Amino acid sequence: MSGLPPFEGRFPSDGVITSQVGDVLDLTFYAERKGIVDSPAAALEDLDIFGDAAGGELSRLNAARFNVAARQLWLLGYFRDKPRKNISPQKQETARFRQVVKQFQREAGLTVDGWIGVETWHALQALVSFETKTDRSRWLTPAGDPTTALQRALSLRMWAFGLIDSKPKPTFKPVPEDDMQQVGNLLHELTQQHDTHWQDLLMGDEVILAAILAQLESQDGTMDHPALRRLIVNTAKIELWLLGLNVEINGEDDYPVNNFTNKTRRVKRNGRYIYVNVKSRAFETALTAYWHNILGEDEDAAKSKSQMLTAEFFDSLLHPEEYTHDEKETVTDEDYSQQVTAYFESRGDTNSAIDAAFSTIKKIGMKIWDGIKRLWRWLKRGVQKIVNLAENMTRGFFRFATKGFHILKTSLKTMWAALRQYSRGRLDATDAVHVAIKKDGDFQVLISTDARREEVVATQSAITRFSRAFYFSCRLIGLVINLLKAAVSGAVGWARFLLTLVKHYRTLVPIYRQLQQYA
Amino acid sequence: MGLRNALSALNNAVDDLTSLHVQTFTGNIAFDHDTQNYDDIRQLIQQAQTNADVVLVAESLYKFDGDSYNFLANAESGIPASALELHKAAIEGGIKTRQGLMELVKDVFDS
Repeated sequence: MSGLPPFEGRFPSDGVITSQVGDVLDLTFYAERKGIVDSPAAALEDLDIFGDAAGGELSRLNAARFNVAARQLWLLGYFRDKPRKNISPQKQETARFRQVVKQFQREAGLTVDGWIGVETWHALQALVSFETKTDRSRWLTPAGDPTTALQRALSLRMWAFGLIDSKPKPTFKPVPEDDMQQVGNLLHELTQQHDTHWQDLLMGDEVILAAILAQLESQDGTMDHPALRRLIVNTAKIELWLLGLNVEINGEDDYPVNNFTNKTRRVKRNGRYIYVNVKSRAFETALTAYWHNILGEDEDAAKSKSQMLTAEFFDSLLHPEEYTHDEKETVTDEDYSQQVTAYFESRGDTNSAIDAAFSTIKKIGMKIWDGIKRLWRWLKRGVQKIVNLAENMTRGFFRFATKGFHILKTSLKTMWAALRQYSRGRLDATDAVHVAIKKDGDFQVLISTDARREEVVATQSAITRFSRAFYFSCRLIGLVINLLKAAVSGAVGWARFLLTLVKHYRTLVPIYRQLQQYA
Repeated sequence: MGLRNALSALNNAVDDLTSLHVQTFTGNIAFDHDTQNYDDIRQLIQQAQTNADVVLVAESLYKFDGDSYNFLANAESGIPASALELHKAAIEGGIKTRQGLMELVKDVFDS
């Protein structure tokens, strides 16, 4: 048999495999429990892979995700008060919080258990995130009506874009039909996509942005329609927020557009009350930062451009490569992981840099999961400037750490599933073919004489899946073990663990893609 | 069983990976699939309610020091092609499983 080097001796009986893989397992468990890596609360069955070490703790969301989920539930109107920053993840175990989660799960047609696991987490992303693709049909009742959760999400989106005045409240009332009709008409008029349901236009990614650009390019730049102007202002704020700039999404028309705003407030000047235009300093600052820090305009030009919301601004959001002053060089995800690693390794004390980055991640909050697609689109279009922003580099680091962690955890789970099969001593593919797995990994097969061809083929597939899933999971885990050994001498801290996952992401990915075929 | 315990069980059970032994049988036996425990087809055959016409149709034994042994039954009707394909898949599966374990202990073997 070719391709198989001879074994020098017998299978090592000193427990070296258990020890090495066990160390990786402990790191994985620790990173997930501490909330260092980004993952939804483990499903209860995930606890089995860690055995007694888990102690039930993995069922809790990590701190960063809990803060995001709590904020998303508030945005959807399930909480009256905005959650404090960095609330303790222990709050998710309180009766009150679980009651709220159950209400969301009921209204969204999910399994009602009061825990934010994978299903509930992804549901929140689909309904709240600007960049997550949302299939509206997924959130309809059997009768074809929108679920209450979808209605809340639509209200939230309409508010964020400035199309209605308030976000959803705890005692939720659907937006009146007349108001919905007006929104629908506006969106159809703006996008000219009359065959698409206006709610799909609303929940789509960059649909409204592209339509606004077309509208501004076809007009002379003035916007007399108040509802349209408010939509344009808030679309701009959303896009800047997604790029990581410090601007608040509030649905308000609080910025002069073409030197006109209809938002005023009453102030006392010289003993008299007058109405003055409201200007959002944060918005102006974010616009300046956009032109100067990201697109490379000099300070005066950036300040000047921040005074207007023009077709040029929206065009730059959609086609940044035409506005940046950087050298054009597209990067792949895997190459970017190297740039991120180099950034952190250049900080001197890498562990402290990663520690500081983790603190930043907790502050960034919802932006951990929103804006990532735009960031990557900009990178692939050759806009390098954005990667120099420390916050985006931090987000990049944790993105790759998360993806690398997910690869590792999938490998551990796949190995575990294969070992469980091995411990049972047999593969159950069909009733007509029986496969025994002997303790030394030998196989015995019994084929019934009346076995159909498809049953035999199914058994072949089962054997192939079992053995290749095990092989690729061993390859990945063995690789990580070797990389961790090479990274440091002595104990491996969680920071080095994450850095290893990020640095060698592009080595892990091709093997993972092969594993995915069989896992 | 957690992963660590599963690996310990593997560690305790596996004794010799220096050879690969695959056997393929055909025949008809009747047994209760859900309750039957077996880790050996021969044991399964013995425990079955009926074991008419169970024959060994293919057997391969590979020792990694170079020796190998292959047996194919010489039945008049011929060995079913599907049995041979499955036998081959089991050999490949056995190799892949061993290669996986090697990936985990490469450093041990190299040192």
